[in-house]
Amino acid sequence: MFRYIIQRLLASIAVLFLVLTVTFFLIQFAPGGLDRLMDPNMTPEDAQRIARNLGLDQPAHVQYGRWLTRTLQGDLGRSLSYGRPVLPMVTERLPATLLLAGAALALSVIAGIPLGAYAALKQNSLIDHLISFSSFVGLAAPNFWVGILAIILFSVNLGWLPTSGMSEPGANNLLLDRSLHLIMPALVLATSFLAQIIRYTRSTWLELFRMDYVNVARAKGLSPFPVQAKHVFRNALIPIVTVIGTFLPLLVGGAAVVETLFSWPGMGSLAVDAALRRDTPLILGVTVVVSIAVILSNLVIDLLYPLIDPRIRDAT
Amino acid sequence: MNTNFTNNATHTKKSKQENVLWRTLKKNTIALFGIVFLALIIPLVIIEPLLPLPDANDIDLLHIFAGPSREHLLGTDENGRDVFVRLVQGGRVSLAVGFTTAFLTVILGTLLGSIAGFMGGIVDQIIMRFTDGMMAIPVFFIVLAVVALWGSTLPVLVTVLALTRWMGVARLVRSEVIRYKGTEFITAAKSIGASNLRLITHHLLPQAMSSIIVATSIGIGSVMLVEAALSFLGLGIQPPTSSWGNMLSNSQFYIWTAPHLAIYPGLLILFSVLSFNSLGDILRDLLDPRYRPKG
Repeated sequence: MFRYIIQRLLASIAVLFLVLTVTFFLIQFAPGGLDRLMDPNMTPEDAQRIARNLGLDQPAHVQYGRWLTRTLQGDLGRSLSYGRPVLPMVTERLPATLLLAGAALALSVIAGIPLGAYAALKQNSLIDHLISFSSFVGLAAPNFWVGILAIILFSVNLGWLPTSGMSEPGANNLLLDRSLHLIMPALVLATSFLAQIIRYTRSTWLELFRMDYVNVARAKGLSPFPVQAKHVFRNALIPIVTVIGTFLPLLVGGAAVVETLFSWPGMGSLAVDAALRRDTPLILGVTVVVSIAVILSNLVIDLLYPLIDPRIRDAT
Repeated sequence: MNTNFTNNATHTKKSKQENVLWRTLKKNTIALFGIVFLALIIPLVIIEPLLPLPDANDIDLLHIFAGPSREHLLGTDENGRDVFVRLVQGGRVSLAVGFTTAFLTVILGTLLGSIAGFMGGIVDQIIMRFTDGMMAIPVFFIVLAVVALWGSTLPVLVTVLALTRWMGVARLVRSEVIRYKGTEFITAAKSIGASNLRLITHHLLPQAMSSIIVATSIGIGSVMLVEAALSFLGLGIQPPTSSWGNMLSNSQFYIWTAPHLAIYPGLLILFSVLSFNSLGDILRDLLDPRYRPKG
């Protein structure tokens, strides 16, 4: 158990270094650079002096080391288009993204597991076909299009939900206002993940039904429901937690699109804005912070495994 | 007499194959729909320049948001451009990006996966930890950064998408290579002097072929989704070249006046991805007897 935790910690650190290294390579090999900023009237000596001041005359590994130290100390440089330091710009957007992604994740799990399990219980019934078909479509539907359709339906035609932002200035009931703004983006972001969870739950449950121990429990005379609740559910949970872990990077990627569509003030819309402005430090800063958030969430999931899977807990 | 016999044999074999295909398709209406859809759209985007259709970039400000007519099959957009032609051209770009990227992804993934699986040991460890790491990174943001730095041209898009999507294929190929590495037919090939390269290309990869084909089909669909998302954000295919993503992006401004402009491109993305996904399912059913429906 202790060894397992150490292992997962080291793996997380390795992934963090991978992110930082990829980011550094992007900066190193990006087109442009000092030549583009150079005044044609400048003497070669001046140019050398500027390169030396910026540390650009050093070999790549020295630059990498310096850059790494600075980044790990939280210095992500300044945004080119806003002139502000990148780190606070990104971190002040973090809560909005966590709220949106968390809501989408919760929605997918809370709705996805029962729907998938129900479809498996009633295999080949009309309702199973309906659930399976919807999840197949959900996987293929582009989330920004689902979002546009949702806006046409709920905002333009029905006028029930606001189209953008996180809150209305001067709203009386803050919680209600926030929820009304959250519901559409969260649902849209959840589409493909919900579909994924339903498909996984359904196939896992169908597989588990064929297991000997489930047959034994049924043969002992247990009625179907307790068998599922006690024997199948816990075992079906493990692969689903794994799916959540592998899906997290995709979920925050999707958040970039959904946040932009709904003008949600999170890190995703900040990244898109930065990319459109060619604001290199800002977009790389968002990439680093988002990656750290995903790595930490994955670490939490890894540490949850021993709680649901005794085989990992008891392994020495 | 003899030839007659052979003819009969091939005939029975062929009709049996047809049966399997038909049985599989009958069980899977979405896949049937998907195959028909792809069989229509792929030839259409290829022969479109030869058809007597209006130019995709002809602006006609006197006829904006026009309804369907004989000159404009699906009407016109906010600049009076022909919606049908722009949809077909957008499809050509999307499909081209999808196919090229999926092809590059498979090459990269197969290369890394077969090396890892075949070599084993430390090489395997390094490649697979790298794969795991790449899978744990939100790569969409790296794609955004690359497109911002290098510009969103087709070669940049295809390269960065392939470089961030090879991990699934690598894992798949590795596991198949490991599964068959110790079997008798590999030992036999080795004993008659087959080189490592030959073992991989002639004996191990053919075993992995069916899973690679399935992964490619599903991969094309998911690449098309990412391309559409990037174009939607203004970071993919750049106007005036049309793509389903940037057409959807434009349609946002006319949701109140012309909501139908938001329907067509989205439906086409949905249908294409759905088709490639179900094609993947069907191919798995056909290529892997374990999934084949009985009776």
